[in-house]
This record gives sequence, C-alpha cells and structure tokens, in this order.
Amino acid sequence: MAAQDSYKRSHVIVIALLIILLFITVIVSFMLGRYSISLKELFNILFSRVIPIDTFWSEQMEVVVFNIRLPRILMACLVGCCLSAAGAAYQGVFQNPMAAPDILGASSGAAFGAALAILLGASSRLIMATAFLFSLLTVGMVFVLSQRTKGNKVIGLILSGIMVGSLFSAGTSFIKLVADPSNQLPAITYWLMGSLSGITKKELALAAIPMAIGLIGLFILRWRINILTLGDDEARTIGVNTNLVRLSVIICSTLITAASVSVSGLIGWVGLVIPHLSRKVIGNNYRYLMPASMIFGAIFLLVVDNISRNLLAVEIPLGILTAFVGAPFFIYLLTRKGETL
Amino acid sequence: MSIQVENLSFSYDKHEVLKNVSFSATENRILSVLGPNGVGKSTLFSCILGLLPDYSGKIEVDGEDIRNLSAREMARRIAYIPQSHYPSFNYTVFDMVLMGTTQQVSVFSTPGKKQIERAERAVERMGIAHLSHRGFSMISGGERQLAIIARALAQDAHTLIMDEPTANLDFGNQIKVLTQIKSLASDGYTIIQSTHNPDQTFLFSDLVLALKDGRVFACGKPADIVNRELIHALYGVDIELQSICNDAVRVCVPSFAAQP
Amino acid sequence: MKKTLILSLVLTMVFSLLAACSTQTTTTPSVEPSEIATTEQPADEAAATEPPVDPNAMVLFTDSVGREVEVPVNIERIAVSGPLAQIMVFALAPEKMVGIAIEWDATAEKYLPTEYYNLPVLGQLYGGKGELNLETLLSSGAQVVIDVGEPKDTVVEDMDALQEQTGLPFVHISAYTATTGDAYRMLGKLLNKEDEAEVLAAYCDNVYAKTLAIMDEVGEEGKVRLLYLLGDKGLNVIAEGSYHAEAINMLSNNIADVDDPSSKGTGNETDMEQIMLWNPDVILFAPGSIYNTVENDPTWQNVAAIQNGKYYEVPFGPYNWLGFPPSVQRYLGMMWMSQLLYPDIAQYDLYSEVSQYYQLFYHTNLSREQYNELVANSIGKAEAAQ
Repeated sequence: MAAQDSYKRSHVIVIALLIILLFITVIVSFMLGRYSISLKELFNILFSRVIPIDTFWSEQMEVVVFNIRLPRILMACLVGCCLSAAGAAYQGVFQNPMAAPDILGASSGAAFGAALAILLGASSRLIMATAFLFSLLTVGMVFVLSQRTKGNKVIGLILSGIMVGSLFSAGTSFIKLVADPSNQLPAITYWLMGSLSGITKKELALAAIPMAIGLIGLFILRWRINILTLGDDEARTIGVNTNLVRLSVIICSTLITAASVSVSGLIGWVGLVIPHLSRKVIGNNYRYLMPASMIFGAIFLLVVDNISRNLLAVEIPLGILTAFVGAPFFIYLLTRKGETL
Repeated sequence: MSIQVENLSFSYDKHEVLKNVSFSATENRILSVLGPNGVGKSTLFSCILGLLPDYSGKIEVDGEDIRNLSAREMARRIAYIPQSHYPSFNYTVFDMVLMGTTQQVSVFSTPGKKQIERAERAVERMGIAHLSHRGFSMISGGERQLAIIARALAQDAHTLIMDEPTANLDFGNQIKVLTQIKSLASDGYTIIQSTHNPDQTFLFSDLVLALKDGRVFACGKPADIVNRELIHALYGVDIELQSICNDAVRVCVPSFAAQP
Repeated sequence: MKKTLILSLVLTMVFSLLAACSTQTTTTPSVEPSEIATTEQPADEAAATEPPVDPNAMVLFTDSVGREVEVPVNIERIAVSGPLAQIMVFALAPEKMVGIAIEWDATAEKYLPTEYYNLPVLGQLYGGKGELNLETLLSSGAQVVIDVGEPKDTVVEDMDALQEQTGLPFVHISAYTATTGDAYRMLGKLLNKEDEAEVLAAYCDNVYAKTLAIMDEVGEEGKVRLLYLLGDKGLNVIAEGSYHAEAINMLSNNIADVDDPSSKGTGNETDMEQIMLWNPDVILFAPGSIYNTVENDPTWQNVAAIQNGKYYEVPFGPYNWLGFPPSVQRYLGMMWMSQLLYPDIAQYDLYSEVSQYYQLFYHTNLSREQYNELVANSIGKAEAAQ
C-alpha cells in the first residue's frame, strides 16, 4: 500500500518538475530574440497587461513581445505537445514503439494540401486551412480503406496509411514539379521543411481549438490506451470496447497532428523521440507517460524553435533542426547498454 | 451454473470448427478442456469470451445470454488468462495487474484508490508482491503467468478462462501455477482451462471436456473418462494408465514402457 | 536512480541549449548600433540640404494593389521582401537598405561598392512565413518593407497580415517587363526620390521602346531561329511559353517548341536528336553550361550553329542578363541580344550602354577590362578581340 503511494508520488513529482522546467523554458524563451529587449523592459511589458505601469518602452517592443514572441512561443509549445502526444498515442494504438504521428498519412495529406494551396496562390491562412482539411481527409480515407481490409485491423490501418500516404507524397512531388520555380516552389519547399516563423495571434487562436479538443481527449483516454497495447482480444476481455477507444484515440491524434502540421509544416522526429525519452524517464504507463510526453514535447520544440529563430540572422527551418537533434539522440537511445525498447 | 454452453457451433468461412458443443461449468470447480492442437479449444474460449459473435447456439454466463452483454458487462463476469507472452511495452508488473480493474472505472478516468487496493490484494494473493515494480518482460515465465492471473483477480470476475496456463513453463512453475489455480477454485471461482497434459487432469481438475474434431467426445470426472480408449481416440497413441498413491493420481504411460 | 540521472541529463541539455541561445543574443545588439549609425549618416546629410521635415511625419501611400498604407514622409531605412525587390530598390536607394533578402552572387563583389556588398542578409518572405525573422526585421530599424513582383491573388491579405503583426508598413509595387518604368516612378514617390527614380524609369522605358522598335524593323520573318540551352550537358532548353522565355521570345524566334513547357529555372530536358531536328541558327548557352567545351565535343559538331561558330554564352554578373530572377537586368540582355543578332538595326555602342547601366543600377564604374571580361564569350570571338 505504502509502496504504491510512494511509487505514484515519484511519478507525480517528475511531472511537477517537468511543468516547472517548461515554465522556466517559456520565461527564458521570452528573453531570447533578435530584437534586444532588456529583462526590466520585458517584465514591465508583460505585467503591463495585468497591472497599470507607466510606459517607458517603445511601441515596437510591445509589438515584438505580444505579436511576435508570444504567439510563437505558445505555438511552439502547443505543436511540440501535440506531435509528442500523438506519437505516444499512436504507439499505443499500433502496439509499436516505432509509430509516429504521420503513420496514418496525416503529414503527407497536409503537405499535399499546403502545396496545392500554394500552387493555387492561396493566402497563408487559406494554406493552413487546406492543409488541415487534407490532413483529416487523408486519415479519413485511410480509416475507411482499412475497414475493408481483411484480417488484423491494426495491420490493415498501417498498410492503408503507408499506401495513401505515399499516394499523397507523389501528388506533392507532382505539384512541386509544375510549381512556378521563382516563388511557388521555394514557398512549397520552405513549407515542407517546417517553420513557426510569422505565426500570428489569429493563427494561434484558430489552431488552438482543435488542438485543445484532441489533447483533452487523449489525456482522458490515456488509461484506456494502456489496455489497447495488450492487443484486441485481451483488451476486449478486460472490458474495453477496443474499436470505439481506438477510433476515439485516432480521431484525437489526427485532429492535433493535422492542426500542428497545418501551422508548422512538416516537423519530424518529435513524435518519435519525445515519447521514447518520456518512457525512459517515467515508464510505459500512459497514465503518466501521456502528460509527461505532452510537457516534454512542448519543452523540446520550444528549445529547438529558440535555436531556429536565434542561431542565425535568418530562420532555420524547424524540420531540419529536429532531425539534427532527434536522429542522433534516437540512435543513442537505441544503442544504450542494457536497455530495451 | 456460471457458464452454460448449448449446441455451440462455429465456422471460419466454410470450415466448421465447433459442432454442437454443450457443457456447463460451475463454481468451485475446475473444468479442463482436453484435446489435440487445432481441435477448437481456443475457438471455444473465444466464443465464450464474446470475441467471436458469429456462432450459433447459446452461451449463458450467470444465466444471461452473452449476446446481450457489452464488453464491460462481460468483463465483470469472465476474466481471460491468455498464454504467457510479452506485451509491446515493458509495463511494470503492478501496472499490468492494475489494468484488470479497468472495467470498474468510467471511460474518462483512471483507476483510483479502490482499484489500487484491489490490485495489491491480487498480487499478494499470487505471492508476487515483491515483483510489483519489476518490468513485466524482466520476470520469469511462471511469474508472468501468476501476474496475469493476478490481473484476472483484480478484474473481479468470478469465472476465469485460462488458455494452457502451464504451457512453456518449467516443472516447478507448472506446479506453482496449478496449485494457485486449485486454491482459486476452492475459493469459489469457476475455472475453465485448456490443457495438453492428461496427467494433470487427475490432480488439477474436477471435470474434463474432451474435444475431438470440434465435437464433444466425452465429458465427465477425470477418473471416469480419461482412459486408454480416450487417449487413443484423441491423440492416436497407445498408453497404459497406472494408478499411484492409492489412486489419488493416475499417470499415462506409453504402452511400450508399460510392457512387463 | 537511473531515471533521475536521465532527467538531470535532459535538464542540463535544455539549459545548455538555452544558454547557447542567450549568448547568441548578447552578441546581436553589439552589431546593431554601428549598423544604425552607418544608415543614419546619409539621413543627416539629407536633412542638411533639404528643408527640415518633422522626422515623425507620416503620409498615406497607395501601393500598386490599392492598399492605403501609412508610411513616414522621409523613409530612411528600408527592408526588402525578396530578390526582385532587392534588385529594384538597390538601384534607387542602396544607402537606405538595412539588409538584403538573399546573398549577392560572388561575382557581385567585383562590381558593387563594398559597403553594399556586405549588407546583412535578412532572408526572404514567402507569403506569411519565411526565412525573414520578424524580430531581425524589427531590430534592423526598417521603417518600411517593400515587396516587388507580379502580384499574387493574396498579396493584399498577406501584406495586411504582416503589417498588422509587425506594426511596420508593407508596400507592394507591381512590376512587369513593360511597366518597370512605372514601378520605379512609384518607388521614387514612396522614397521621396522622384528625380532619381525618373532617370531609372526613363532608362527602362527607353530600352524597352527601342527594343520594340528594333524588333518591329526586324519583323517576324527576320527573327533569328534560336535556342537557349543550359545544364551541365547543355541538354536543357528554355522552351517557348516558359515563364523565363519572355526576353528570349521577344528578341528571337525561340524554336524550342515542346508539349509541356516547364517554368522551372532548369527548363525542359531535351536530347541531341531533338536539337538537330530543331537545327537552330544561333545557340545561347547559359553561364556555366558547356560553352567552353562544346567546340571539342564531337557529338555537337553536327549542329550547324556550332559548326558555324554561331554560339554564345549569356553574360553573367552579378546576375544572368536574361533573367533568373526575371528583373531589371533583362534590359541589359535585350540590348546585348539586339546588338548580337541584329547589329545593323540596333547599332548600340554596347560598352557605353552597359557601363551606363552598371552606373545607374549597381552604382559602379564599369571599366573596359571588366566589360571585356563580362562579354568575353558573348559577342563572338572576332568582336571581343577589338
């Protein structure tokens, strides 16, 4: 009895530490930027929205803090949180530690939608909406297709995901081929590499709605995801309606993946590496793994985005950075002595 | 009558696996299903567990037709103990046991204090409390089997269905697991298990259901029905039955060894 | 125990990364003051000669797509959104640019004044997002962001959104080959440099009108049958109908007729047989293609243009004279091609025209040697020797 309590307490402490770490990272991120703002100015600007303070800073500083840094920091946290949560959830649904958020084609679909929108000369907000819709559409197609496959549903889903995903990738390649090379092609290429540059408050508000719905859904279903990892038959005999729970988890994960990818472009590795890292820190029980992955993902992407916007004078695409950080780290995790996945 | 099966038939596509199987299992009793590989033991269990709804005939649990029960209502009545295997993720033993309590909490919540206490009692009952925080894939096969039984106990169903609980276990672990099963039966659980080993039926079961070609070949007390004719019919080998310990136990001895 | 180890590892990782970032920022402001100082100097000079104007005075400016944007009366610091804006604004107001969108080509070092060649690279914008870091943009002190090019359908929405987010005015100026002069006039109005802009505008209008007149005289029948080839094997072609073929089509009979003209900078792939079938009278090779080796390549000897020595390399420096990106330097290409293909009608003194262009648009005196180097492969061997 006491043993269980201390066990539970240690997990809660780890999560509390992660929350504190996230908080610190957010504060530090506010201090980072190409536009130099002193600490005193920064905190006064931030608190001026809560308590009246005499303005001694420039208007442009306020623009930097509220229109540029704030939406970008929050977006980085949300996207990291979503990709990581979706990765963890898919790993459970597919009983496979190598599953990532794009396993059902959400990213390929979003990429196709975005490329198409750029080709047709859409505005950035319309690009975002098209990417989101195509992402949902792709996963919907994959799901419908998998229902028609015979045998193991999970394998049917994975195979349909690979198939439809590569179909949309081919579509994206075709669009790149016909795109105007002087402005559309670089825009598509840049979008595909992933970036949070130029995120506005409106985009943040739009994306936050599906993200919140999906994240809350995954959070409350997190215990059931444990049961899904046991396989269908075993899970059913424990009393879980596997089809319903799996569908719900897929819907939530797709919603947050689609919303993330549509604002940020393709950002790989977060959904694979962060859940793994979280497993190492807090174990495989989704009750703790899910919140830990969410917070870890937020911290990770925020840090990477800080590098992306501060390392060089120009923006470095996020997808490139996450791969640079993610791939070696993953190899390290895989090759560490005495550890198994 | 906790489990009542009447005229159960089941086919995969055109291939008929079970034909008119009828039997019942009751509290405090261990029912062993005996038969060679591929005879339909697993299919029979899947039907009873509600995993294969396209059967014909009738299956009742505690007097209710299982067709009218949801997965959750089923889980309150019947727990399943599959053959020991590795899960995809290395959960701790305690987490694994706690998963059994899922049907007791709502879809939107996680097991609470009550469920944790129940899981703790289950691991203690199975004598594996000291393994609670070990990884499930780090412990021995026998310990894993005991952990899965503990999970079934935490589930709080009173019929346990076990798929060859002693398969792939060494001799010591076989005895440990079977002894636990026997003590569960005497605590009032209804136990249905499948087995390969006819010898075990004498010591560790109250009833034997012998299946051949998807039909019930014989059903009764082990001492009454397990004999050389039955073994020959089921497995196609010749044996002699030897009685030892004042007929408390019988052993199947291959005929060539039994020749004087 | 192991878990605490991993956690502390992660913590240190995160902090070291953050620390790395923060040291980065502390170096940034040290660059900034000097940058502002250099850009402010001309401002002071200007203030001395012109009547004093309130430095904070604002005025409404209507851009090419009808957006009314509030901009400072005296704009002293400009940022550009992409390469086209970079080329155009550089000609008119290089001293006001706080940075450039993409790095100059290395050859630009020979022509551009050093202080302009070393302008910081800020990155470019693609619609709403892009390499241009918005904080870099704001800290550069830019008072206006200028976007030049053919307007996209969404240009109003994109410009408005960026303007709202950054608080900086964004101005779009549309420019097509035929309307470059007007684009300069609008730019001049925005930057209070109408006289200087008029010089550039007149130059553009003049070259364009003269090219039209030359081609009128040449007539459809008199146009030279020509191919523009590129690639490391010379087997890619800018086809008739390609987005990049505008200047080529205007000045010659582009006989590269393919089913699906690609608008990519790499053109359409073709092969030797097709080139022989087309049998052009003149071949233009892109800079860096096979101009230097084609003479000794036996497979090319069956092409009449090669046999007759009627092949040239497009001049390059600091941009390809025929486009890529398609901007003002195409007027150079027009003059060069007219003189090359129709010397009797065009009658340009190419050196004086080109050096005038370099003076106006790149702010440099092009020496005879530099000019010879530029056109060494481009005007036929006999003429280059003069």
